[in-house]
Amino acid sequence: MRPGFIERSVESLAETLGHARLCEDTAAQAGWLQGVDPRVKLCGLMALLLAAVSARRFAVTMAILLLGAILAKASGIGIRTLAVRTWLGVLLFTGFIALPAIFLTPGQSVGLGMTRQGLMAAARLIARAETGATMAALLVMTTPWTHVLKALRTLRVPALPVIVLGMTYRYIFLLLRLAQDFFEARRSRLFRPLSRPEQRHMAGAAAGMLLHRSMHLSEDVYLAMQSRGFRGEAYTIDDFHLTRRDWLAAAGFALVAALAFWGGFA
Amino acid sequence: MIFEAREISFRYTEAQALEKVSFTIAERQRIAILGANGSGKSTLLRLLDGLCFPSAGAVLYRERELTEQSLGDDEFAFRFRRAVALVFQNPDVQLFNPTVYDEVAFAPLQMRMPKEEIRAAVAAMLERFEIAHLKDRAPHRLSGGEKKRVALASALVLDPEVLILDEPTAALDPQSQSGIIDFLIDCQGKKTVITSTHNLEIVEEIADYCLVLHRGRLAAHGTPAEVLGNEELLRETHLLRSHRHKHGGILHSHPHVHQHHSHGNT
Repeated sequence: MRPGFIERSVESLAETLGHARLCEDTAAQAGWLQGVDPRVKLCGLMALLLAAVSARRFAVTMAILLLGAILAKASGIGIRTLAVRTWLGVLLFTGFIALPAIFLTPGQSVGLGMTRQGLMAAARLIARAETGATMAALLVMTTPWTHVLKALRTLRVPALPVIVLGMTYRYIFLLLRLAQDFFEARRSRLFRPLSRPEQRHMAGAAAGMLLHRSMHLSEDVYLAMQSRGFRGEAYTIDDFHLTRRDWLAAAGFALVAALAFWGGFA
Repeated sequence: MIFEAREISFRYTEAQALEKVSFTIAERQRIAILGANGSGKSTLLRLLDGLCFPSAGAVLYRERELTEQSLGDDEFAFRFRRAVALVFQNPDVQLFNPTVYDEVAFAPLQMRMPKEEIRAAVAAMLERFEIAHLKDRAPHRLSGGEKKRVALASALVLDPEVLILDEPTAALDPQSQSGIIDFLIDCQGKKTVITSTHNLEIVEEIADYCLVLHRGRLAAHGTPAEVLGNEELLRETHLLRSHRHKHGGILHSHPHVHQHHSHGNT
């Protein structure tokens, strides 16, 4: 039997929570990227990402994508996991956007109304998006979110946006669990599949309930912050120490990124 | 006198939460605020912590009225926030930082304490509440008892003279409950502790004096022995639970009478 609206909602919420848990678990396991200082990793992967998206040569972008796959493997992230969780979604989304370019870009015809130049433009766009997403996925899957935030702070990103990011991440879980409980409670009291209008009504009710609860929660959290001395300006503590391995990793990232920038524009 | 409440009233849009409540709290006194759900306990605690302000009457901390203006004065706010700490009933509200370590360090950071002092104070708190092994964990992945211990550590890190606790043993397993009770017993003679609860079993251990709230009004006050010995008061304020058992096969129910130590069985 095809799962109903509630089953699908519960499943997708559980999947989202499971995905987040997978990232936290991967970040906690031993691996090459996991052993690198978060600041080095953040800057290094950002540099590779910039090199990939700004490269004019397709081969350079693909080389960085290949390097991303190697780094993933060295960090205990399976290529299959990366393909299913990152590449497939990006391919579908970017592919949809790039599709018209295949037919509309003027150039040498390769049949079925497609042009060689159009295919190359679409491939370049998809490769850039895939490489960017891979670098972001590598950062998130090999670094606890808390360390990403601290790394942002040490790189002089203002405290307030970093704290807001941290709290968003933290309270999204609470609200996801709340939504999951809501749908499960509804499921436990249902005796028949819901009609379309009932499904829409329930989706609206869930959205309203979550909005209401998140507003209450944000008010209470603000009071809790005030109670502990928050007066509009937030301060954080940062404890990172660079080791010899981190310096070597930083040098490696810098070298590869510089080569990629040079090769991409040459 | 640490706190004085002078005929305080507080109204939410939909309901009157407190009406003409007056009392005083002396230094190092341990006060239990008793009341059924919705009796105004949490609102009273928030007023004492200067998180909201009475619609009529006044709350005074060391003879200075708590108002938006007085807490807008940096010097007074700094002194007050350092001296008074509130532990919220729902730890999810209070634990908004990405890691346990950041959570405990939050208040000293807002007080602009030197980093070395902060590190020492945080380490001492993590040790005291046996949560050092959790310091890098995200608060949302902790158990209820662990969350409560983190909330306590984060409130006590500044060594406040007044500790306000909203239902500290609610939704905790017996072992976690007894940990909190042991801590509150340990505070005797060292700190002013104001605890809201409707759990009569713990009152004699955690308080020297009780205030009983009923529908936003101060229904009674006295020593734990006086309050717990007044069965009529407890019944009127919905603090007694029904005790069901069988007499000769007939199911029978009557109010559960608390056994308090100073008067023996009642």
